[in-house]
Amino acid sequence: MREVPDYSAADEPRLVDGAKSGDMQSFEELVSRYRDKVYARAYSIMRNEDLAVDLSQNAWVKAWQRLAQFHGDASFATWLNRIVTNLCLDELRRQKRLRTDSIEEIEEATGPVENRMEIQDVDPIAKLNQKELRERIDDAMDKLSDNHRAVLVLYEYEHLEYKEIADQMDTSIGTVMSRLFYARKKLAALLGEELKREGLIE
Amino acid sequence: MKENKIELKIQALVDGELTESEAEQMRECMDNDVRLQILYAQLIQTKDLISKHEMSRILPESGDFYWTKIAQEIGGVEPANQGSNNSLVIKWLFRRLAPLLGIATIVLLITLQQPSVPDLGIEFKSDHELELLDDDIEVMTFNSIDDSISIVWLDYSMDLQKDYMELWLD
Repeated sequence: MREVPDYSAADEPRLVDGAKSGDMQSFEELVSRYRDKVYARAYSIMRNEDLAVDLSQNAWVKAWQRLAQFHGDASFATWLNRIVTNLCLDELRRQKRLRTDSIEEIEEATGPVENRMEIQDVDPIAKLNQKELRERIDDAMDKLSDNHRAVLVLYEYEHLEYKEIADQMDTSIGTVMSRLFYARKKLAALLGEELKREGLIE
Repeated sequence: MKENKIELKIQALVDGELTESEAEQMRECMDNDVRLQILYAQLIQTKDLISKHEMSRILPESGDFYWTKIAQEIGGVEPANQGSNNSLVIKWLFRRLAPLLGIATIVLLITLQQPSVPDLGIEFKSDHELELLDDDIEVMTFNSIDDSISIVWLDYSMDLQKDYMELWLD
């Protein structure tokens, strides 16, 4: 009698090899291991549950179609995150064609916001516990423009370099630096404002 | 250096994106500017805060439901594994060989369209004369390659023609 493979116990390279040879169950196991991470990455950029679910599913379909291109240079999760990130950036580009730039981005292009906004000292945040802190930062991320948030996510969470972000976003390194700087300043300012409101800082 | 450019350079220093000489230059700038020192410290603090506190999320729908849609999309489609490498090779070869195949086809078509002597069981006797094996029909040809001319004489015996006519009229 043929032994049924235990997919849940299989290591990642074995599952990837199985999926490469067309074994859907191996691929399903990979999906079950990383679906939350892929969804979380999509959500961190798009800030919309339905869109994040759709884009993360599309990322898995693309991953299946491009499995031969995965050679294990990076981890499978990193490779997947790159795919979903690219899909999110494509979606942002598509959306951007449908609407005008936000005032925030227009101001960024002309410079005054960066000049007049002081970076906030975020040290008092240490009073919050880790869970609260994550929620506050996440709320603040919500308030950033799509482009600023995307740069921040690619830099801080995807660990891409300026040049790689510029390539992925079809923009210049200077714009990436400017967006990153603005995003950090704005995030720190938003956190500071919230803490002031709650009386955690004066 | 412009104010804004300096701030971006400080950020690049925090992010480790400067060359050693650029980094050294920025450190010298900071030595003489308290405001830049504060900015540097705040950027490190903010960077640290963001990078270490990414919100983890859980898919808002069941794993089975999520997988079903993926499975429907990929169902019946083989992953682009070795087969795709082969198909890439085939595509590459096809791209290279297609012009040659095209030329070969044209040459073949031209060759097939050239007038040729039908296989009538005729044996060439000389340059310009053919003779049928069938005794009832005599054929003579004249070929001139220089003038590209071929003349063929078919000589049916009267008896044979009469037989064919009677057969046809019946």
